[in-house]
Amino acid sequence: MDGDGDGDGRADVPAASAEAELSGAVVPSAASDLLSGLSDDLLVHILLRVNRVDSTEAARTCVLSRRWRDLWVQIPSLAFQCFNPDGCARVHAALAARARASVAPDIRSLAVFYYGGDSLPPTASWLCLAPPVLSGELRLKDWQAPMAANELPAGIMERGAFELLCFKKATKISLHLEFLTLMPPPSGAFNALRVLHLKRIRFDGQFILGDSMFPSLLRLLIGKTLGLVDLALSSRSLVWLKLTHLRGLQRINVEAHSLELLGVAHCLRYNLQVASFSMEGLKVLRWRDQFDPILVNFSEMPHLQQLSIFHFTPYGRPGLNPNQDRLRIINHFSRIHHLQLMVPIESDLSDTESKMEGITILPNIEILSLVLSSHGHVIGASVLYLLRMCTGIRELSLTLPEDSEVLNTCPLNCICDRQPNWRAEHILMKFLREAEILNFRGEDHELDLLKLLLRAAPGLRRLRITCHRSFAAWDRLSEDLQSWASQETSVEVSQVTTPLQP
Amino acid sequence: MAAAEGSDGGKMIVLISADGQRFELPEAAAKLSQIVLYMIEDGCCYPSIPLPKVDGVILAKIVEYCNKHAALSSGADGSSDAASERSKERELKIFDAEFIDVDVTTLFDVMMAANYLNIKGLLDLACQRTADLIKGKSPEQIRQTFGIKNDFTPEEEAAIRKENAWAFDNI
Repeated sequence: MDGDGDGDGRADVPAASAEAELSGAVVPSAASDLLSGLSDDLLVHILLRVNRVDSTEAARTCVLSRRWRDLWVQIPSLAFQCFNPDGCARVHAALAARARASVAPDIRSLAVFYYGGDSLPPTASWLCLAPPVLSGELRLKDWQAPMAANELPAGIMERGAFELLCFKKATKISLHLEFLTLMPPPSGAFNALRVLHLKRIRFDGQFILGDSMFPSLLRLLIGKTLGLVDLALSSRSLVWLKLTHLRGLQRINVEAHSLELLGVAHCLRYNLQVASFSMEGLKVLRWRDQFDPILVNFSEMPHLQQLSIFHFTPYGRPGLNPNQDRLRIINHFSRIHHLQLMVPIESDLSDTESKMEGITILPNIEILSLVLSSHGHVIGASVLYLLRMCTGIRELSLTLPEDSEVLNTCPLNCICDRQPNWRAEHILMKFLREAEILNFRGEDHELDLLKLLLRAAPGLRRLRITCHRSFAAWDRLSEDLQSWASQETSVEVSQVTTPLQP
Repeated sequence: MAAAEGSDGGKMIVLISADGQRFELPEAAAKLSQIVLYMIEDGCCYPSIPLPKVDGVILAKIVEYCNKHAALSSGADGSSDAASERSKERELKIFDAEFIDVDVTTLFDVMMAANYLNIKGLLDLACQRTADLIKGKSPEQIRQTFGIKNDFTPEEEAAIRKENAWAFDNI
């Protein structure tokens, strides 16, 4: 792995030593050739590290001596950066050179990054030698000039085609094509393929994916497409499916009886005519999309354990209540084992109104998880509102924001705390046995919510609080909690230990 | 002699180099070597572990590496907050870069020893350092750096270059 995360595949070496290398001052020429005496395995291990984004430099070692002539072809992971169509010819030449050498093992990973603009040559001309020898991962990424997230550059609709060859032995294929039109092979099966990622791809209207072409597929991601109007997935093997930003989708039919996780985001909002999902084995449903029960048809999901709903918002501008749409899918189920709600509270709540009032009923829920991004606002009133709708829960999990930069920009008399009497409210959650709070900062309103919870749940057996890394006095919290909680409640307080994500 | 203190009261392991030098180091450090780990698990580590393929000068370096990495590995000193983790990672990165900035002969001795003792982190470090010495150099410069004798005739070398012209043309 790339130790320093800067993407160059190498750990940083202090500049001073790099200079010394170039001048040759510190590293005198070795008298005897120890390097060539190393085993093939070690030399391949070294060649692999010469340049991780382009294997060409390692290939140049073929000219050093007879010992080195066929060493580079044993590198199992190849990568190429192509800045023009000739770069693709280089990929072809490298694969041809490997094919000539009898010692070349199967390729475990082939990555091609194309920076050559609109002129990607037909794959048959440069990738045709890869399918027979690639038994691992294929990664193709077409880099156009960077563009804003939701912007399509002029001319994108005229981009050419990408003919996907049939990789019978590949286990993972990841294509990021900057809206080239994907042309699947007319026949043949990707027998070993387990993971398929299709990102920023244009389709020619319809895409049919079935067992005959992908008999072993386990995970499928389709993200940010153009031109995909009609999507038909039928798979006995698929267990994991994520669909995001399928612009213009009108019809979707998913038949995947082994599917365990389905994530849908921004696919069904605009043009949908009909959606049908048959997935009796589903365990986790992540929904970030419109749900119109007239257009969307779900099979029975007797094994469903978790429903995750994004963007369940307590406050919003006057007008439509977006939560009504989220409630439609939540209330599609009469019983949900584990409901997870992502609850964003915008930093600027001026001119907003509460959007919680419309919530009057939630299904039977055993575990409720709330993931809050609250920008320093008081969360008590919003949390309490939701709890009142599902007082029968057995477990509660609250994840508070993790980012350290959150400033309390909440103005005086902010809507989030306009009714401070939430602190004095009484609810009863007599079945609540376990509660956990992550990223607890010990602020007054958080402590008020915690006290309210302890009052509301006389049967609480276990309370776990993981404090935010910024909460210096976290170890004193334990004592306070013991005095507020009942004797039967075991209280565990700790602090976040995982490294901060960059 | 690079004998380490067992200040935390943990078990100490004694390694004996090919030339008979003794190195004492904490068990946690010694276990970074898979070979030594297996010997400890099999109870074959007392009173000492002989390493007949590694001489004292190189074993001293290996012990230095293992001591540093074991001492700074996550959670070794009980502190576990993210900031100290990051500073330990930084310290290890600086230590590694200085540790491996050695002449080619020592580099290969360390690599061979790391390979024999099966210390993955150190083997990767030595291989990466070697790869960095290859990177950006012409074939002739690489030959000079490592003392590789070109046993091709000029005609053969020209033919190989021609056959692999794709790799030598400017990208």
